[in-house]
Amino acid sequence: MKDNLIKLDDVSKYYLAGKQKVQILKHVSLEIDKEDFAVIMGHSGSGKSTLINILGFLDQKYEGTYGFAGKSYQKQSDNVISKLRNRNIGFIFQNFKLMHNLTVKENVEIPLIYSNRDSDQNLEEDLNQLLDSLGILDKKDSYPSELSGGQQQRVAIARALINHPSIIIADEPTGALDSQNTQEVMELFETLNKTNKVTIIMVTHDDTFANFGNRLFKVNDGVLHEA
Amino acid sequence: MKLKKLKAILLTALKSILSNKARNFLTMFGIIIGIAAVITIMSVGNGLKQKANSFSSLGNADGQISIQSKDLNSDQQPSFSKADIQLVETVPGIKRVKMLNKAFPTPVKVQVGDKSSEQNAIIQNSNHKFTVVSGHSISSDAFELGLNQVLISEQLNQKLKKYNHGRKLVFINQKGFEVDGIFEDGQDSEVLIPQRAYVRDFGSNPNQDLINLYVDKGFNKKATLKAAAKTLQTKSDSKSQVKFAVVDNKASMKFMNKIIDYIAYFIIFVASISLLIAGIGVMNTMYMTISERTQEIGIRRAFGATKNDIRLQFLFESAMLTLLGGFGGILLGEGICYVIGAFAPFKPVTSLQAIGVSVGVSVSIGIVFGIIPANQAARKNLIEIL
Ligand SMILES: Nc1ncnc2c1ncn2[C@@H]1O[C@H](COP(=O)(O)OP(=O)(O)O)[C@@H](O)[C@H]1O
Ligand SMILES: [Mg+2]
Repeated sequence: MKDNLIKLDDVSKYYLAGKQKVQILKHVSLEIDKEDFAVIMGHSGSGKSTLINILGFLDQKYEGTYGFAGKSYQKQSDNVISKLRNRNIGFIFQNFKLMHNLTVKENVEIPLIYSNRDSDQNLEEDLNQLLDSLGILDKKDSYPSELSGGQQQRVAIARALINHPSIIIADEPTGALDSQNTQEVMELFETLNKTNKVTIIMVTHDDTFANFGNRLFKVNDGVLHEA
Repeated sequence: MKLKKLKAILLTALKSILSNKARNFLTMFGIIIGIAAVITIMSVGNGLKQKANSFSSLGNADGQISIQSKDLNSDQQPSFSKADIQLVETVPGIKRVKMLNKAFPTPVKVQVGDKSSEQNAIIQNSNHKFTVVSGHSISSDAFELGLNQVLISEQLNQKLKKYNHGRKLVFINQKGFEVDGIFEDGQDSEVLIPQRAYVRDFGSNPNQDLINLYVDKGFNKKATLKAAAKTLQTKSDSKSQVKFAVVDNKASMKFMNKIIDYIAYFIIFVASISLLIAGIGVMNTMYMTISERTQEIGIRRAFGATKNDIRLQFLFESAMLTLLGGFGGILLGEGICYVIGAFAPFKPVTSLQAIGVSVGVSVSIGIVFGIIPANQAARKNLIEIL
């Protein structure tokens, strides 16, 4: 039996709305393997972000079990979880979430600050290569405000990839992009998955991309099922 | 901690401080004032002490022993021999013995007209070492008879010119002296007084020979000094003609030093209150900074920063802010000391200790008042801030 990279079993998530406990995720079970490209679709407010926040170890408060690479991290310390995020998860957000007082290079280097790769000689070369492959090498010393939306999202992608994570988690990565840039970013994801064998979980509400990955999930009012 | 992380933390802190210059300057203002007060008072106290010590030949020694002729009418001023010094060095607890320059400058009050000032005088029996540039030197008869004649320096002459209306009379400790001549500047004194005249007018000989003694740590100073004097009195070659005695000069100095210390403590207490208020300002600024940067905290946490990393980030920033304020305070304090030194009859002296205290205090304020906001930043809920 092969190990799943991600294995959710009967996960439920509640939020308190005033005094009332509202169930946002309802008994979600999910298995994702290495090199999968999973697309998660659903209406706004259906619980997609809530789900991938749990998958990306941003949220530790839920019921049920979550195994990552065969291990549970539900009772681990903040240090362990932070390290796990640093090494294994590359986040990409809808609104890029770049730091505006940092250059492109400095933004991309953020995950490096928190990993112990001080002695790694090839960091600079790695970084240049990555920026080059994303077509933003010439923007290395620019600030995000000097870039187009598409370019900013490429910076965010570079930041997600710099530590060679096991999985990329993207929450509506094209939501703030025009159609031209959307197309380009999606093709980039496809290349990353097919050529570079990067595992990807992507949330989108754009039907056009339903068949982009090899797995398609739908979330409906907190209930997940594979299409 | 990894170098890369440390560098990133420092750079981020610096950037953040620089990007909010106006607000951060206001925050630092209290620290600057408080630290400037600390530096000023410590330096002034230090300068006063040094000035007080410079009036006495004691300096920073633990005590002095004098040598005096048993025959009170003797003209001959006895002095310590090499053998005497070696003898004292053998006394247990004596660390070091220092021979003093016989003609040690003595402070006197010089008055012309209604202008008076404190000057150092050399009291000796000849013009030795003094070069007269105008007027004439003191005659050997005058030395012999102890006439009230003096030489003064060019510099002092310049000062007095305006007031003496061409007359050559000055009052020294309220006794009249005639100015015979002017000597070249560069002595460590402004007045030369014949010793006989000084002894007759003021009843004491300031030039009795002294040795300065330094006592080892762990030995009782008083007892050790007494033992040294006793050893001399019983074993010195000249024991039959002279009397050795421990000089009691520290009492008044000690009192003076204590008063200076108390004043310093009081001002430092007042400065502490201003620093406390400044600390609260720092806390407030850190809360503002953190709330403006919740997004940044979220991003850093998502990409691997631990709670500790975030806490450290803001602690460093807060400490750096107050340290910069501390540096500003040190500079301002030095400026104030410079101005005081230009007008007061002594120079404030900033010790390394004062700098150390300032740096320590300012960093501590940053840490103490930064810890609560930094903790709050570290504990922020990730989902809510992303
Ligand atoms: N921090 C929160 N507190 C309370 N309710 C929340 C919180 N975050 C999200 N929700 C609610 O959970 C539901 C799902 O949100 P989300 O997962 O962001 O949806 P989606 O990403 O699919 O649009 C929404 O109804 C939202 O209002
Ligand atoms: Mg969402």
